[in-house]
Amino acid sequence: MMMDKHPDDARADRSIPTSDWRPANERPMTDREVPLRNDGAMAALNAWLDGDAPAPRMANSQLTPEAELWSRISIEAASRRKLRTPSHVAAQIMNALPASKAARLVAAPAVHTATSVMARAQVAPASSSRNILMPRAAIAIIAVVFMALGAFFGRMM
Amino acid sequence: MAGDREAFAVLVTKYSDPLFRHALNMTGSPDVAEDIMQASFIKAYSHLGEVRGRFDAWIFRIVANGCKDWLKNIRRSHVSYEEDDQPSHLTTPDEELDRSELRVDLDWALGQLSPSLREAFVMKHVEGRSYEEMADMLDSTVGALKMRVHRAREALQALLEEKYA
Repeated sequence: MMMDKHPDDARADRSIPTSDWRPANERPMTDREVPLRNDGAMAALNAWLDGDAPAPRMANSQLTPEAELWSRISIEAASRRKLRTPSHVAAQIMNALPASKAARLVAAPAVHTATSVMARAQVAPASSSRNILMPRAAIAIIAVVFMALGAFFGRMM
Repeated sequence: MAGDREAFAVLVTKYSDPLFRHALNMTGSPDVAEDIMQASFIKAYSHLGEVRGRFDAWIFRIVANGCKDWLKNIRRSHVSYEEDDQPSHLTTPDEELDRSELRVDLDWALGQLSPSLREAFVMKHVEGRSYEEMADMLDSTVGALKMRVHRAREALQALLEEKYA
């Protein structure tokens, strides 16, 4: 049976949506190149928002409607700067860290860059790795002493 | 061992606010922002030895890439900003935000931008960064980022001006 091929059918076959079958002006903004408007109004707006020029105003010295909109957007954007991380997030992150990494950091200090060492040095107690390494050295010395004693008593017997 | 974890906990506390703000404004979802933060810090912890330069710029790039990947994937899987995904959950600890029309519309409009335009707009206008700082963080040039911000503004204005201007 022959079936007509419609754009909708073609699209349904695709797991990844494409937008090339639609006219450019009907595509979502994400798929469109946004041409820079070369008009003076937009240039003035951009200059103002970049801090390079005063706000564009109308003859009666009120902000232009576009500038008014951006003024409101700027207030809204600035209010978002106050957002803080929810308090549980840091604990969640720490709980999710792999347990083995820290041991690897101590065991293989030669691979660290200056930055990572600095980052750790800012907050880690200076003796943190020494506390782990000292007992190892002590154990090694004790083992050597015991081996020497073993050899000595072995010869005596 | 405990020292490394404690050291990393300090880094998490120190840098989580700006990173969370970035992730939240990029994705529009607090839950997704938290997930990206967690994944990014775990990645950072596992690759601490590879840090070159500043830790804050390095971890920012991990989070920023996580956000952009999420945006690309969510578009591929046909999920759009609707109902629960609408960034209407934006809250501060101090106040339950009044969900003004502009806030909802701005979130919707941001959702229409490509990840790179959205990133440029969020860094410039929401995070209040200078172009020089953005160039440093994104390893790009001031001129390229200015262009991106200008395009983002024009796109947003095109989306919002009918209603507001």
